[in-house]
Amino acid sequence: MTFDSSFLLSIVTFAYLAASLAYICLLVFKTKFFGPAGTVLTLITLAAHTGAIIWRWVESYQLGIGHAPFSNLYESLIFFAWAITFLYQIMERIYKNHVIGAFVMPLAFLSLAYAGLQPKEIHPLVPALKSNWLIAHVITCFLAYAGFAVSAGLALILLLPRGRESISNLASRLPATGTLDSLIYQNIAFGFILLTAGIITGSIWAQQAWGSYWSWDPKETWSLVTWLVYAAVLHARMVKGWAGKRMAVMSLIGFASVLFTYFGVNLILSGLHSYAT
Amino acid sequence: MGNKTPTDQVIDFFASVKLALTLLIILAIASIAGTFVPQTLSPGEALQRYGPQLTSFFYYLDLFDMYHSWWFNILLGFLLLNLIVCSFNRFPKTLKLARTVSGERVKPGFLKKQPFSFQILRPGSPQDNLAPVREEIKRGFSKPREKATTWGILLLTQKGAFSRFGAYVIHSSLIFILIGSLIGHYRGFNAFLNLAEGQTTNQVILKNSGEIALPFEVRLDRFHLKRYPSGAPSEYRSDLTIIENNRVVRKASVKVNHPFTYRGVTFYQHSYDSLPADGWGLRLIRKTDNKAFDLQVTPNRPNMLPDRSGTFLVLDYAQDLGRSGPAVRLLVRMNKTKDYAVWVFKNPFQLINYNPRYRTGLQANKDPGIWFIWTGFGLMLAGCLITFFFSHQKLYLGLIPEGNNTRVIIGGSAHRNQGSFKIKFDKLTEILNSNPSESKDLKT
Repeated sequence: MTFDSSFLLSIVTFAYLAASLAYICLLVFKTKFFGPAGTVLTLITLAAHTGAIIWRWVESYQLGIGHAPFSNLYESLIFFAWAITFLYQIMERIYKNHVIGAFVMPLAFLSLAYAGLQPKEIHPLVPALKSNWLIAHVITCFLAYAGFAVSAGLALILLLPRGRESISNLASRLPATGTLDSLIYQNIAFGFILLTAGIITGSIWAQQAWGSYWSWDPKETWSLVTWLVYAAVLHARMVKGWAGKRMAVMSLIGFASVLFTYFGVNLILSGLHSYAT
Repeated sequence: MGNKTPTDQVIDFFASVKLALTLLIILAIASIAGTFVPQTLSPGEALQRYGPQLTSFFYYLDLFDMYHSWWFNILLGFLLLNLIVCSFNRFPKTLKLARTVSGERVKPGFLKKQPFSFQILRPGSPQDNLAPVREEIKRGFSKPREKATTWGILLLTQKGAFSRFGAYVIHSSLIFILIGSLIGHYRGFNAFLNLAEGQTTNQVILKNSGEIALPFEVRLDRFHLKRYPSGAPSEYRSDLTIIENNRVVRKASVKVNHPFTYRGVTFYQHSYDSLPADGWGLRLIRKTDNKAFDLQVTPNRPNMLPDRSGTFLVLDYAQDLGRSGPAVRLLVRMNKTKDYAVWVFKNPFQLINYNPRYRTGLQANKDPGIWFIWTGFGLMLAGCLITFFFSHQKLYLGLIPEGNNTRVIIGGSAHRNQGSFKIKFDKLTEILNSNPSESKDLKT
């Protein structure tokens, strides 16, 4: 086995698993040490992860088919995991709460683990993907997905039954419901802006590549569905004052739509976005 | 409540957020349905897949072209009506909220009732106590308005009033997008044209049905297909010439992702094929004297050899035979010898150039509404940023003389993002809590 970016990424995958376990240990055993340990491990791994993405970019140029590493499912999963970790670390810096990591970092690990099952070769870009919009479109979409993923992780924490004996011990270490609620909202708002930007960049690109800014392609339609769901969630919160458990449930419904947009469309429906499989 | 006129009730219905939420969810569900029912089925395929009864029901509901169906458009229309009525309904209230309450009606009690409120009794006159906080207020908000009232001095200030209008910007962006799509639908067209190399046309085939003539002609000079070393296509390019009134007016190359626009009609590289039916240009070189003959080869039919020494038939062709480049397999029937089949690289003839005659598939679209769409997109992003990153913050500061001391009351509110407001507010209370002697120093 040669030491290339894919190999580094498989190490990164296991490092994220270790970081996730550290955060989970913090939650379960209360030992303070695990919090900073998880953070340090995550930050080092994030640096390696960033390096690996750049390395893969360089490798593609060495093959003479240079392009940004955002062109297939393997590469998008890697960036998805990166975006989740990046977003979570920003949140941890601001709110100084390590426990949330137990619910968010496993998502980054799962994304990379799933990436590990995909073919890893670097292929030249098909003509339709040769565009400067590729980078803008993929980055905005996946930062949006990451925001929604983090909000779904937070929603899970909020929905834990706190009253029960077995959990109440854990609950003492979980962030207050009010904090969770505002974090869920902020991540959804972040995701919504970026999803809007992602759909817009995609739309401009589609106009250039396919001659139509909107074709009701399944991927497009599902991104619109996701957008509509979160638009409804935001209206319900801003005008009707929805909060707490209701927001958490809506956040999970929204994330289910994100997952279908990302994976379901490629697995079940066929369309113009089929190179993302 | 009970004495509303029917008109008010209709307006209330269309202005309600409940309607908006219902429509958003129904539109989401309907859109999902459309991704599971194939949108491009022919009647025959539909019958085979769904049976006669279901098929006629699906046709009745336009399910095979759902996103353009009457009911989907009615849903979109309702959503638009909803957001327009709702925006007009709420606008006066927002305008009122965007202003600071005018000084006359503000009393100390009003300040104490604000979501964020704080008071302290400090030594010194009102003016003494104004000094230490004035700079901080200016920095965190804007230059405060000062008002002398019957009960003391009132300072009013606010920041980010515009953020209350973000939602209106987003809603108007959707109206722009609607107008753009309507203009595109009624004044634009989507069409195809297939052009073989050397061919000229002004006829394009509309996607829906029928043909239209462009006010100019398009000629395909050449089609280029570039490949990666692996053989996968890397670039499709059509070199076009635009001819108007029998005059060449423009030459342009169209590639995927690089369309070309002339007089409002944009050409997109869409597909290509090669035309074996019309044959290939083939150059044959006679080995005996190196004389070259350029031929147009027709497959499926015997071709006469240029020197009439026999005929040949194209049996097969390959773009890259055994990694040695393109080749054509010919069955040669000479007048004197036996028939033989050969892949042509050598022998009596040489395949110099393998130039299949390509035919390009272009889209020719016209969309005069596109700038409304782009404007709508810009407004939507701007509206989102305004809505989510800014909040309208108001701050009131009251200074009430009590003997030699002054009661300082501050009250404030933020319509969103309370956290960032709290930081500013806490800073002010910290200053007011700090040693009052500082303010005395400032006086001297």
